[in-house]
This record gives sequence, C-alpha cells and structure tokens, in this order.
Amino acid sequence: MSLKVWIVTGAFIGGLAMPVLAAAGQDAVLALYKTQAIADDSAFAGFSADRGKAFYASSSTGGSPDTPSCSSCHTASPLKAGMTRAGKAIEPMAVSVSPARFTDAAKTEKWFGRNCKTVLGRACSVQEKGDFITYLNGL
Amino acid sequence: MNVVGPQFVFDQREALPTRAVKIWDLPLRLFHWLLVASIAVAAVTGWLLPASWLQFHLIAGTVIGSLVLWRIVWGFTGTRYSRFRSFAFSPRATVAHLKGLIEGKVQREAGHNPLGALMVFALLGSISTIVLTGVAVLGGQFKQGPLKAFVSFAGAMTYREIHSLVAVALLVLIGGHLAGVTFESWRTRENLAAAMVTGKKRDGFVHEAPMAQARSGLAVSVSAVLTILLIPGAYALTGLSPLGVAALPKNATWETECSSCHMAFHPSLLPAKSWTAIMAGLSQHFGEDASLDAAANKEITDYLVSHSAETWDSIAANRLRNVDPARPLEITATRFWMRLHQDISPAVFSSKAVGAKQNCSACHQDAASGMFAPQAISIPQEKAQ
Repeated sequence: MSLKVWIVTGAFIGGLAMPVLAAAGQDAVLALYKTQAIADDSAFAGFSADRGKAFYASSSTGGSPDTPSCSSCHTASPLKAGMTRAGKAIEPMAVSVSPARFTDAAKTEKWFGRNCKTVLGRACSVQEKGDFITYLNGL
Repeated sequence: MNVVGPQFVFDQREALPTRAVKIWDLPLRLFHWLLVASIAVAAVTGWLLPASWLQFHLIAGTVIGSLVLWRIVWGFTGTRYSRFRSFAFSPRATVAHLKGLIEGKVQREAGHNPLGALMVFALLGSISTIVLTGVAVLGGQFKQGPLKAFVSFAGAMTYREIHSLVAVALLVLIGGHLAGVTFESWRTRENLAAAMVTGKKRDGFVHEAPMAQARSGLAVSVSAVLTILLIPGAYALTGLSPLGVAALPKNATWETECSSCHMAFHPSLLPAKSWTAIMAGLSQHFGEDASLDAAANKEITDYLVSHSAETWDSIAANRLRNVDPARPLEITATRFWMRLHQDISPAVFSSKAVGAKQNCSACHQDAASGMFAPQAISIPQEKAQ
C-alpha cells in the first residue's frame, strides 16, 4: 500500500477512536487540549488549577453585561448548582459532584464556544480551557 | 292552561289563619337552597377569583346543571306546587294578576303567583343557557370537557360572550326575584323566604290535596336513567381527541438543544415568523450565544415552523400568535402574556423556585404540553417578602 493509503486509514481510525477516547473521561478531553496546546506553542508548560480558579472567578466587560463572569450563572462555588437566566437549574461544574462534566469533547467545545463568547466576548484560548477543566476536575 | 289553586282574596284587615299548611315539598326546598349555594360558588369563582379556581367553577356548574335537570323531572313528577302545571299561567291570567296588584285587589296564592311563575321560568331558562354555553366554552377555549372535540376556539369566544351576558342577566333576575319575594311578603304579611325553608304557609287557601300527588318512584327512575345515560356519555365525549390540538410528534434534537438553558417551549407558543427569526439569530439569543451546527438548526427550525402557533387551536396558540411587533421574539412581551401575569409580583419571578418569567413550568404544571390549563397553575409560595 502506498503511504497515502496508510495516512488516510490512520486518520480514519484515529477519527473513530476520538469519541471512544473522549468517553474515557476528563483525562481524555484534557489530553486533546494538551496535544493542541503543544501544537500551538512548543513552550507549553502544562495546565494550572490555580490559573483555572482565577479564570472562573474573574470578571469581564468584553461580553454580555448580564453575564460578566462564569459565576454569574454557575454561582461563586463550582460545587453548587447554578441557574440560567431563564430559570433553569444548572448542575454543579465540579467533576466531583457532576462526574459527567468534560467527558464529551464535542459537548465541551460547544459550551466553551458559546459561553466564552457570551462572557468574554471572544473565544477562549486552549490554555484557558485546559486550566478551567484542570481546576474543576481537582475540586 | 290549568290554573290550579283557587284564588284567595285576602283582606289585609283580617288576620291570617294560624294553622300552617305544607306547600313546598322537601326535594323542592333542597333544590332551591342547593341551587342558591352552587350559583354563589359559580358567581364568585367566575367573576371574582383568578382563573386557577376554574375547577371549583366547573364543579359548581356541574351541580347547577344536575339540579336544573332534576328540577325539570320534578316539575312533572313532584307534589302539586312543584309541578310546572300548577304555575303555568296563561298570559291573560298573568295580566289579570298584575292588574289586581295595581288596583289593590290583593290575592294570595298557595304556590307561585303568575309573576313569580314567570320569574321561575326565566331563572330556569337563563341558568340552563349559562350551563350549556359554559360547557361549550370549556370545550373550545380550554379543550376540556364533553364538547372539546366539537367547539373551536373562535366558536368558544362567541359562547363566552353569551355565557357572560346571560350571567349578568341572571344576576338582574335574582335581584328581581328577591325584590318580588320581599314585596309579596310585605303585601301578604307572610314570610315567603321562611316558607321556602319550612315548606309551610299559613292556611286559608282552598286546597285540592296539595301533597298527595308526588310520583317519587317515577322521578327516581327517570333520574336514574338520565344519570346512566349522561355520565358515561359525558365521559366518552371527554375521551375524544380535542379539536385543533393534534398530538405533537417528539423531536429529540429540539428537546435536548432547546432545554439546555430554558424549558423547551412548545412550538405553538410563537408564530412561524418568530421561530424563523429566533433560529436565524442564535448567536445572539437574548444576550447569549446559543449557536447550533447547521444541521441541528435546520431540523429544529423545520420542527418549530411546522407546529407553530398558526397550526394549533389552543388558547395559548390563539393568543400568542399576536406578538408585539416591536418585540416579536418574546412570548413574555405579548399583550396577552402581560395581561395574564400582571398581578404576579416580580418577587415570585425572581424567587428561587421560579428563577425567571421564562420558566413557565415553575407554575404551569402542563407547560410542556402547550395547553396551560387554569387548573394546572400552582404558584410557588413566596418565602420572604
């Protein structure tokens, strides 16, 4: 077989394997972000729970005025249930309380995509996402 | 016309005989006072209390309807003065009675006098009209009860007009009834209200065996047959599928995506145009980014549009079709929504149990179905003022 076929087959198998890996837990999702972080920046020095904690608590004026911070909806403590602006309860963000958090890579990306734009007015960096998950995973 | 109960020319200077005679039988008196009580409940729940009291209004209406039906049976089977025959006066007799009143030729009637009889028929007629139109309103407006398969929302609006107008007329008639009883009691020096409690009037009439005629067995048989026919009939009709509110097919994408942040609003709660605009603007969805991938967006848009307010005949769909042109995407900006929620304090909406006014299901237990039955309203108690 030619090299091309090997690459296509490898990519295909890799693509199939990704959701399986993702379902394996938070570590798999974090690993995806780590791979991406290294690809983006060769000097990547790992994710930090402390930075994630500060990020969670920080306020921004870049996004919607109704939601200046993660804590606007998720409350100051990630261990507690939050509430959307429309009155629906949100399960706690801490993995110790809500074990399903950050186990689905696509879902994680979907909500980072939405909420970073709503709260910060911009997309989050891979570093920020990784720090955030690391913080909530260790609580 | 068979005018029963010979006229008694009553001279006010003479004392009435002290001996009492039974005029109104017990079933008639029970009917009268139960009707008073159930009409009072219907009036208070219909005019004064919020719509969440509808169930009590319906119970009162059912009792009233049954009482009137029973009264009709008893009107053919009861004792002398309960029978329609005893007070079916001819127009001529009625006019003569009126003339006699004006001329001061005072007559005293054992049963109903001609004017009183007219009032009885007017009351029974208006009460029957109110009950029947009420069932039609229940069917068309709320898609409940035995007529839900037959009356449209638009039809119900007409019946509701009649229901309300005749209810006001009934109130006037009741006023006239009370005035008539008061006047006649004063005129004949006989407490007629008390007579409807005890059944007795002071003697002095010429009777034709007043209490001997009740055909109770026949009354019970006819009532039993009516009950056997009507109750299962009403249940069977209530079991039919309601007109214009077809069952909503499930859609998992709509359910999952739309209920991420708020309850999945029933597609019938906004017109198609509003849904299309909402789905086209998800990146700025009421201050939040709620973007979806193109496939999911199309699937949900199609679903919402094909079951939008225009396609449904519920009260919510009929009313919420008329969005505020300035804020066409907001259910809570419609005039209808605002009018129905104006008495609810902002503290209720911001309470922990509700959270926001978009959270319909916090108070409307059937919000997911889009029906919003008044009986399904339960507002969580305000903890602190």
